[in-house]
Amino acid sequence: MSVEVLPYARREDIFKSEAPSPGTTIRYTSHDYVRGIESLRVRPARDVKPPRKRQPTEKILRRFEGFLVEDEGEDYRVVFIEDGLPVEYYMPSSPLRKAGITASNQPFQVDEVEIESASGRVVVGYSFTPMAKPSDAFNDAIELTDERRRKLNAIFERFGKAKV
Amino acid sequence: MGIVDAHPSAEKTRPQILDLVGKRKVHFVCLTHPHADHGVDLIPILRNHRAVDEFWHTNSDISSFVYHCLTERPNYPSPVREFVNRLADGWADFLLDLYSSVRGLPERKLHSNVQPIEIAGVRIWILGPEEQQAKQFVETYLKRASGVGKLLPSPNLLSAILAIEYGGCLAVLGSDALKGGWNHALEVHKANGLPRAIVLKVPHHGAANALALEKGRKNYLDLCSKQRAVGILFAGDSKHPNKKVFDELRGKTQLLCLSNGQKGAYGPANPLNIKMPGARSVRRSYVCQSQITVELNSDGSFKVQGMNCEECLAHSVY
Repeated sequence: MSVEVLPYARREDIFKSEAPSPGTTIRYTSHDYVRGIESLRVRPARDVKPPRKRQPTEKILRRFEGFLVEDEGEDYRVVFIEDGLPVEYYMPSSPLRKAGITASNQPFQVDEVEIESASGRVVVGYSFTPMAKPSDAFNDAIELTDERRRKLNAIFERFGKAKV
Repeated sequence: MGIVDAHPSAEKTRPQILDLVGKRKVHFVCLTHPHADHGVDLIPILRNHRAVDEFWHTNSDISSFVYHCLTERPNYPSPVREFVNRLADGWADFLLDLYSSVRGLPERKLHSNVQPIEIAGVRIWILGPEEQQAKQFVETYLKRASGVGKLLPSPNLLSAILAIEYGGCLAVLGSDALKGGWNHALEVHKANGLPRAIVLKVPHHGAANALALEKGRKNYLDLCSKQRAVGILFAGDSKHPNKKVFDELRGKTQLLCLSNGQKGAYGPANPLNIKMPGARSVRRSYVCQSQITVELNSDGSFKVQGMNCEECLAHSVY
C-alpha cells in the first residue's frame, strides 16, 4: 500500500485560503476489503460543514422559598415553605454559603433546574438565590404578652437581670 | 434520683414523666443544653414535683440569653417572614417555660472545672463543657444576636458531658456534644484517671458532627471500654444517625437504640424529593423500644436491658 500525504500546514494557513484545496489522493495497491477501488479522494475537514451545535438549555422545574435556621457544620438546618406549611430540612451548607446565604433567618429561593447540555445530556441541579442580603436584616421583636412578661420577670428574679 | 434531659414520648409508649418519677426525691434536674428535644419534659417536673433539690445547667447567663431570644430576632422583608416569627416564638416560649419553672431552686452551673458531685455513693464527673468555652458561647451568641445578619452558633456547643461512676463502672452521657467538646472531655477523663465507660449515651443522636472519624483523630469512642461497651442511641431523625457513625458504633459497641438506626423516620425522609446528596428532612425517627435500663452494681458488674440493634433490625418492620 502506498499513501501520498500533503505536507504539514499550519491550521491558520489552511483557513487563509478560501478556495477548496485540491485534496489528497490515497492510492491503494492492495487491500482485500477495498478490492476494486483504485483510489480514494480525501478533503480536509474544513470543507465539511460541522453539525450545528445545540445551545445548552435550562428549564425551571420547581421553585421553593425558605430560610436558614442554624449552622450544623457541614449541613445547614433550613425551613422550606411547601403549600403554606413549613418543612424542615438539612441541606449541605456549601452551595448555600457560596450563594451568600449566611445569616440566621435569611430568606432564600431555590430553583430546581433541568439543564440539557449541548450533547443532549439532561441533569437536574439547584440554584440558590438569597431573597435579602444579611445587611437587610431588621429586628422583629416578639409580642410580649402578659404571660410572657410574667415568665420573663420570674427568670430575672431567679437568675438576675439581663445585660442589655 | 437525678434527671438528665427529658422529652415526652410522642408515641406515648412510656408513662408521663410525673408518673414515672412518682414521689421519689429528685436530687437534681439537669438540662444539658437549651434545646427543646432535651428539655420539654423537664418543665412539668420543675413546676409540679415537690422534692427537687437542684437545677443543673451550662448557661453562664440565662437572663441575658432569654432576653435576647425574645427581643433580638433578626428578620427580613420577605414572604417567609411570618414563618421565621412562628419558629422563633416556639423557641422563645420553650425557654420562658423552662427557666421560669426553676423558681427558687438552687442552681449548679456545670463545666469541667466543677469538682465531682457525690450523691448516695454515685459520683458524677463533669467532662465538659470547658468553662471558658461555655462562657464564650454565650458571649458570642449575645453579640451575634444583637447584630444583624449573623449566623447564630448552635446551642449544642453548650452541651454538658456527664460521667456517672459507681462500683468502678462508668456511664457517659454524651448529650449533643460536638467533636470539639470531646477533645476536652478526653483530656479531663485521662487527667482524672477515670475508668473506660461501659455505657455511652451516643452524642447528638449519632450525628457526623459529633464523631471524628478522620484517621488518627481521637473521638468519644476512645472513652469506651474496648471489650464491653454498650452504646445507647436515642431517637433521631432522617439524618441522624449518620450511616458511617452508625456502622462505627455497631462495630465498636454493642448498640442499643431507641430508634431504628437504619431507617425509620416517620414519613418520607425527603418529602420534597430534592435530588441533592445530603438533603434530608428533619423528621423524627420511629421509636422501636421505649425503655432501656442500665444497672451499675457496687461490685463492678452491670446489667443492660433492652434489645440490641441486631435483634431490633431483625424484627424491624422495614
